[in-house]
Parts: sequence; C-alpha cells; structure tokens
Amino acid sequence: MAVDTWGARALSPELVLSLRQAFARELEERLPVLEDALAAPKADLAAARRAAHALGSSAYVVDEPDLAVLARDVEARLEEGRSWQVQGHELVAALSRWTL
Amino acid sequence: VSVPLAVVLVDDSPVQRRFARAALEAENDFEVVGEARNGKEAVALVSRLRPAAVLMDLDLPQMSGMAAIEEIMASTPTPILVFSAFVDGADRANAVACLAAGAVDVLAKPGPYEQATLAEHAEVLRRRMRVAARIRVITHPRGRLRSKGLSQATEPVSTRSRPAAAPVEARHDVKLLVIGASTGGPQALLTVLRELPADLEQAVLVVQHMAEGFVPGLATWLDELIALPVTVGGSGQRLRPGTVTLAPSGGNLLVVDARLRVLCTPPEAGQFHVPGIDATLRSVAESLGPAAVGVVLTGMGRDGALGLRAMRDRGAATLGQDEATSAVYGMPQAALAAGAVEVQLPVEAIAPALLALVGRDPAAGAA
Repeated sequence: MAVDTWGARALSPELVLSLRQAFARELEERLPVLEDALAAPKADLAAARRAAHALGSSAYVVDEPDLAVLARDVEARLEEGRSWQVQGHELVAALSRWTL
Repeated sequence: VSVPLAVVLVDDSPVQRRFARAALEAENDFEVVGEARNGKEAVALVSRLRPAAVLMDLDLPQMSGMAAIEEIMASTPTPILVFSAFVDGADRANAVACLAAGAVDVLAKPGPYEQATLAEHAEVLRRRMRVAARIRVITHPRGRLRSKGLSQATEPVSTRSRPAAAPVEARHDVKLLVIGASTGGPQALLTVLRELPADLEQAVLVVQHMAEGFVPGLATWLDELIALPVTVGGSGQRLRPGTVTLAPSGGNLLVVDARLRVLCTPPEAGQFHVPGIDATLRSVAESLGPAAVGVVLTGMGRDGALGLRAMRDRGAATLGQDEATSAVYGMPQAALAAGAVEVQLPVEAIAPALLALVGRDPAAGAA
C-alpha cells in the first residue's frame, strides 16, 4: 500500500487500519449526499460535486485508486455540466460495496 | 532536543485528519494538539490553544475555511497553511483568495491523477508546515474590517482615509513602477494597487512568488478590485501604461529595452523563487535606469534585495515595506540591509509615495 512508505510510524498496521476506519466514517457522511443527488430531480449538484471531490482525495489516501479515479470522473462531469448519472450510480455502488 | 511545534488540524474528513496527523508527527518536529471539524470549532480551538500553526481545509460545514481564516487572522493571528482539494484546477482562484485573507501558504491535497507518491506528499506537507510555522504573522485587516461591518475588498475607495504623502520628491520621465512580493504579498499588493488611478501614465509590473498556475487567478482577483486593468505578461509583449502586468509563473520576466518590451526566460541555475524578483529588477535597472521606481514588499527570504540595489545604483527611486506592516519582513529587511531601500514605508503609504514620485497628487487616489 502507498501508506507503507511514510516512515517508521506509518508502517504500523494500526495506522493503516485507522485510515480505513476513518474512510468508513467518511462514507457514512458523504455517500448519502451522492445518493440524494442521484435521486432528486432538483438535486444539490454543488454538494454532490464537493462530496465526489472529497471522496476522491480520501480514496487516494487509503490506497483505493479505482475508487479515487471514479470519484474524480464524477466530479469532473458535475463540474462541466455533463451527464453524470451512470458514473454516479457506479460510484455509489462501488462505495456501498467497500469494506475494511 | 527541540520542542515539537503545536499544530491544530482543521478538516471535516476523518481520513484527511488522520493522514495529516501521521504525516506531521512522523519526524517528531510537530505535535497535533487539536482537531477541528468545522470553521467555528477552528476559531475557538486556535483562540484557546494558541498553536504555532494551523493546517486548514476550505470546504467545511457551519463556517467555511475561508471565513475561519479571516476570523483567526483578525482575532488570533496564527500562520495558516491551507490544505485543500479545492485550490487547483478550476478552483485556483480559491488559493489566491486564501492568501489574500491572510493564509501564508496553500497546498493541494493529494489526488489520484498526480505523479507524486503519498510519501512525497507527506514530506512536502512537513516541509511547507516547517516554513509556515516560522512566519511571524500580523493581525489581518479584512477580518478586522468585516467585524465592524465592512469588508476591505468591497469598501468603496472614496470612503477610505488616505495616509499622508510620503517624504519623496517627484521624478521626471518615470515609465515603470515595478513591485516584488512574496509571502503576504497578495493583500499587500491589493493595498498598494487599489490606490493607483485608472489614468496612471506609467506601466506597473508585479512579480509575486507563486506556484505554477496560480498567477492567472491572482490577476483575475486583482482585476476585480482595482481601477487599473490587470494582465499576465508574456514574451514579446510591451508593458502598457496604465496597466498592471503580472510576471507569469515558471520563469523570469525581463524588461529588455526602454520601450518596455519583455521576455520570459527560464529560471537561473539554483534559483529558488519563481518568478524571480531579482532577475526582473536587474533587467529594469539595465533597461530603464532612473526611469523606473522599484518596490520590495513583504516576503520570506532575500529575493529582490540585489535587484533593487541595482536599480538604486542606476538612479531609480526605491521603496521598501516596513516591518510593522509586513506579514514577513525577510525580503524588505534584506533589501534594507543591502542598501537598496531609499525610503521604508508602511504598506498604506507606498501608493501615495508612488504617486508623489510620478508627480501625481496622492490625495486624488484611485478614480
């Protein structure tokens, strides 16, 4: 994992586990934002974009590159006003399946 | 054994807080003494703990990171390093706004499309925080004004009091005002440039140390707030009277003749700051001699000292920002020590001095 190269303290399995636990907590907050935006006709797309952006950064930190890239794709589509529903559902599904 | 510097982390993401804590504490020179999840918590925590520095996210619930920066800099001035996913790409303007609000540095969070590894990001974060924590910051005016119901950025020009004219004499045939700035520069630049009138007959060239890609955001921000048009310079252009030109990032902008033609050149070997102030000021000294005025504003390091000295040696008028109003006194102090500064002034007095030097009535101010 990418975090293995941080230094002596970062090598501990406890740190890696705590980062992934933190990601699980973050999912609880941000996943509903994406789900709401996908479900509502007049969704808060700005909030959805922020959620996708933040999840992209955090997924990168916990060494989930595929999730990070998918989140960034959703963010870019929201930012550019392009269709994002297919990718949004794919992201939500992937995040929902994610486990420690 | 040195005592670790106390840091407060501000981020609503538990992953990012955990990452930042691990990165900062990896080499025992920082200790994270508190964590805040929103801007309000951050303001209260900084006031109570008085840390050496703050690591601040921007997209926060309840109170945004930007508002928290303004509050902290107005009430408990503390070096703030912004660490956010919203300061690059389409969000570059946020970085400039953070610096203008009083943050001392801005760093983008690691993301999936970057070449750097997470370990490299952690090292960069430690290095930037070491620099940020050493900066002596001052109470920031925007938050102070806002607390009185006024925002400096939106306050009408005509309502601001003007400082007395500086002790300088008018020079003849001045074609160019050139200003160098670094840490704390955006706010200082705004303070100076917003007092220059729209019908200024001189060209204005600004060299602000800034990471690759952020200069256009600074130009847009300044352009909205000052009377003069603001643009980013490029090779082969001529600096225009009554226009503020910013040196682009990535190299040096040199003035190559008395008609104010400019060229972009790569950084010199070993050059630490880009765009370089010394390189630009030396070129101005060569090309214009006494027909220019040089200014060194707030900033860390020594860049600008030798260039300003070259200008002074060639007969140009030279000004430096004083310690009391500098976010970081390094550059103006180095310029003063080098004998480069003819007159040292508070930042509010620099525009009136520039106007007096070009034979304008400082009391007239910006139109």
